[in-house]
Order: sequence, then structure tokens, then C-alpha cells
Amino acid sequence: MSDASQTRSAEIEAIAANFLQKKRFWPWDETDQAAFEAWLNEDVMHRVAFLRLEAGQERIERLVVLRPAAQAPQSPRRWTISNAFRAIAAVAMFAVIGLGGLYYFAPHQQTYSTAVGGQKILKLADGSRIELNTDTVLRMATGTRDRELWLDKGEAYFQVTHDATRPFVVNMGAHRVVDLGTKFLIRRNGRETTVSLLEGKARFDVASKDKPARSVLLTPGNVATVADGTLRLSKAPSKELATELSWRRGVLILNRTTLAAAASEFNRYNSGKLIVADSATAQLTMSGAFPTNDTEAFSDAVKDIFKLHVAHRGADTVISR
Amino acid sequence: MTETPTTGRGSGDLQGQGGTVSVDKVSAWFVREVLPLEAILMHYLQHNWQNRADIADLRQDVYARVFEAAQKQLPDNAKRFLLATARNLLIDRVRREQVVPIDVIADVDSLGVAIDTLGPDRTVMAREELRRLQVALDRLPPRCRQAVVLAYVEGLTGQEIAERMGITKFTVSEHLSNGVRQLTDMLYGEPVDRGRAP
Repeated sequence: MSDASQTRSAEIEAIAANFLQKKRFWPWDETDQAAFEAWLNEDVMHRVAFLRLEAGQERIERLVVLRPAAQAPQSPRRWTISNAFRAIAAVAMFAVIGLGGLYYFAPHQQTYSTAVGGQKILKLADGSRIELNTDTVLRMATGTRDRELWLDKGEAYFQVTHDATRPFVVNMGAHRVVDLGTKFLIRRNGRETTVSLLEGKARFDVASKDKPARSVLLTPGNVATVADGTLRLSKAPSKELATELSWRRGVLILNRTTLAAAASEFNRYNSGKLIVADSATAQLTMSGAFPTNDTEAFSDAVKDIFKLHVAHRGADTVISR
Repeated sequence: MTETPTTGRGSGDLQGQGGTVSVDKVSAWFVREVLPLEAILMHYLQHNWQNRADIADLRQDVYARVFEAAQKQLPDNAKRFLLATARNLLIDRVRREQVVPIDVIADVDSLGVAIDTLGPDRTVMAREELRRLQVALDRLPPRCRQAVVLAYVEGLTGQEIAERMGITKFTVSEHLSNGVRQLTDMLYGEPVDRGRAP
């Protein structure tokens, strides 16, 4: 008696799961979408079954992963393959040199950097795009099949053309981010490293002295911060992430930001520093948008709003009561 | 006692009537408020219904009823509403099947206390969640687990998984479908404190 309906509920769930995985892992066109929507709208049982599995999937993805990075299955073989590629590439290059030494071959790493207040856009041959913010050093491996980079300091925004056979890896000290089809932002600030994911997916391998490395799968809106071996994961609304990227337009957006934090943001972009003289002033908060290089607009604003005293000391600006 | 779930999905009054709350809104509410209560719902169903084989079916029915009712108006208290819906469904089943059940209907209110101690804390520690996922993964059949890990951890596409594992696309789809179903059951359906393993 209840067997028939039991079968029915399991059947619905199987169809829902099949749509879910097809949508996520296989090519998916308008015809698929139409069929899917028709099925979804057919019966509320269909809809709840799908919603439930979709939420489950999201939880699996958000749920961070899993075991230490080193144990990820099959990765040894992957390394072997990429090493083999390197060997082949090296042999090929020697062959080229042997043929007359016409080609000078690029160093194994290329360094790109920006000065304080500077910005730079790098376009890679594979279509990826990297934007460097102020005071940033980025190194890139050349002549290898894998795309490997090192963000030594500063901040960079990555828009990566995904290629599962050529991992795109950014190292930040001992931590690293592995692109899985993504737009992400990395910022290093002293001991703290923050990775914000805007689109797609990326794996964040977090190193730690006393514990084995951990991997976190980032999904859009995730902001992961590592400092002194502790990992904090949070979810930011996309509006907030857009604010984080306002530097790409040369704008600094303050949103109830303390003057202390605002000053240190401005100081990333300018050689003339803003100094907030006393702790009471440092606690004041304000909102607004300013050009990153215009400390004067900022100091004028706080002067008017809070009736503060602004003085110039050499290239620096001192704000006090 | 603010909301009284309508009894009888399919009894006529609900069918064919468009709700006033948008599907997207109800979907978001359902995922945010109702799904996290699944362990409580399962606990309730298991304690009040003898035939284990019916449980998954009952669960889906409860969800469908809750979803339909929420399209008319979002309930204020998701937990109370969910359990009241479950109770009504069990009553309907009993009537329909002419089975005399055990004491089907423990009062929802009297369940309150037990439920709160059982319930999934919304702020379950990430570590605990991680542990659950690990346990859940370990319970998958090996090939299924491998496909799931390649998909969700390594970020491979279905096609790439098929090549890597040397199996057909169809089999990959089967593994991924079964994997997500089982993991969802374990992540949502089982109490956070897994002291009462079957």
C-alpha cells in the first residue's frame, strides 16, 4: 500500500538529484533549462525535493573541505604529470638554445610590482587578468605549464580563465589559493591574509605551523582571513565585496569606518601619511567616498564634520582635536 | 497557536490557487527556516510512525504541504508550523489507511522542550559541521565517494571525472546523484548529537 508512494517519493528525489548534478557538472543549455523548469513547476513535491538537495549541495560546498590538502586524492599523480611537463619544457628549451642560442630565455619568474599609489593591470595569454593595487609585489612563474604566482605583499584582484588541466595557483607565504574558475581578491596586510571570492569557486589551502594544512572551498561571497594560524570564514553581501574593489576605480569607500582605519587605508596609497593624533579622534566614524590619492579631500571633510584640527607636518597630515 | 496549517494537500482548497507570496521568497524561507529543522522533523516522524519505510515519503509530503501553505502566507514560527503540519499529515494518514497507530500525536507543545535540546543550533560550529561531512563522506561507497570528492573538492566537471575514473558519463551522473542525496540526508536529517545511532 504505502510502497507505491514510497517509490514515488524516492523517484522524485532521484530525478531532482539528476537535474542538480547535470546543471552543476555537465553542459547545460536552454533546452535543459526549459525541461528543468517545466518539471519544477509541475508539482510542489518536485520543487521541495530539488530545493532540499540544492541546499544540501550548497552545504557540502560551503562546508569547507575536507581533509588536509596533501591527502587530496590523486594529487601525487598530478604533480608527477606537471613535473614531467616541466622536464619536457626544459629539454625543449635546451634544444632551442642548442639550435643557435637565438632565444634568450626568460627567467623562471617574472616580478611585477606597483609603487605606493600605483596600480597595474596584467593580461595573461590565457585570457586571465590580474589587477595590482598599491604597493604590491607579484611574481609569476614563466615557462611552466602550471600557472603559479606568488603574492609577496599588497593586494591583487584575479579574474582567471579556468583550465582544469592547468591549475592557477597563487601563493601567499605558506598559504595558497587554487582557482576553480573564479574571480577573487587577495590582500596581505602584515600577518593577515584575506581572500574574498566574488565569482566561481576557489580552494584556499591554509598552512599552519603546528597543524596539518587545511583546505577550504570558497564560494561566492566568502571572505576567508588567516592570521597567526587561525582561519575565519564569513559571508559578505556582494555589495560589500564591490566596496572592497572600489580601488579599481581609484575610490576609497568608507562605511562607518573609524578615522584610524580610514587613515591607514589612505596611507596604503599615499607617501604623505595621515596621522590621527589621539585615540578619541581615532574612534570617530564616518562614511563617504574619496579618491584614493586625495588625502586633502578627506582631511577637509573630517575637519568640517567633526570640527577637528588639521595640521601639515612635512608631507604628512596630522588630525587632532 | 497563531497558525493552523491547512489539512489535506490535494483536498481541493489549495490546488490550483496561486499563492500571494512569490515562489522565490518561499523557496528562500524554506531553505533558511525549514530545512535546518529536518532532524527535528525526522525525530518526530520516527517517534510517531511505526513503519520506517514511510518516513522519507512522509517527510516529502510535509515539506510539500508546508511549501504550499507558505505561498499563501509565510508562517511566523517555522518550527511550530512544520510540526503541526507533520501532525496533521499523520492524522490524515491514519484516517486514510484505517490503521490504529500508536499514540500518534504527541502534542506539539509538549514536544517543545525536547526539541530545543535536540535542535540544530543555527550556529553549529564549523568544526562540528566539518566533522559531520567527513563522517558522511566516509559512509559513501568508495567509487561514489571518489566521484563526489573529484567533483566538489577537486572541481572537475562530469566529463573530466569520467575520464579520470575511466567510467561512463552515465555512471558518473549516478554516483553524483546518489552522493548528493545521501550527504543531504546525513547533513540535514540526522541530529547534530549523533548519540542515537540506529
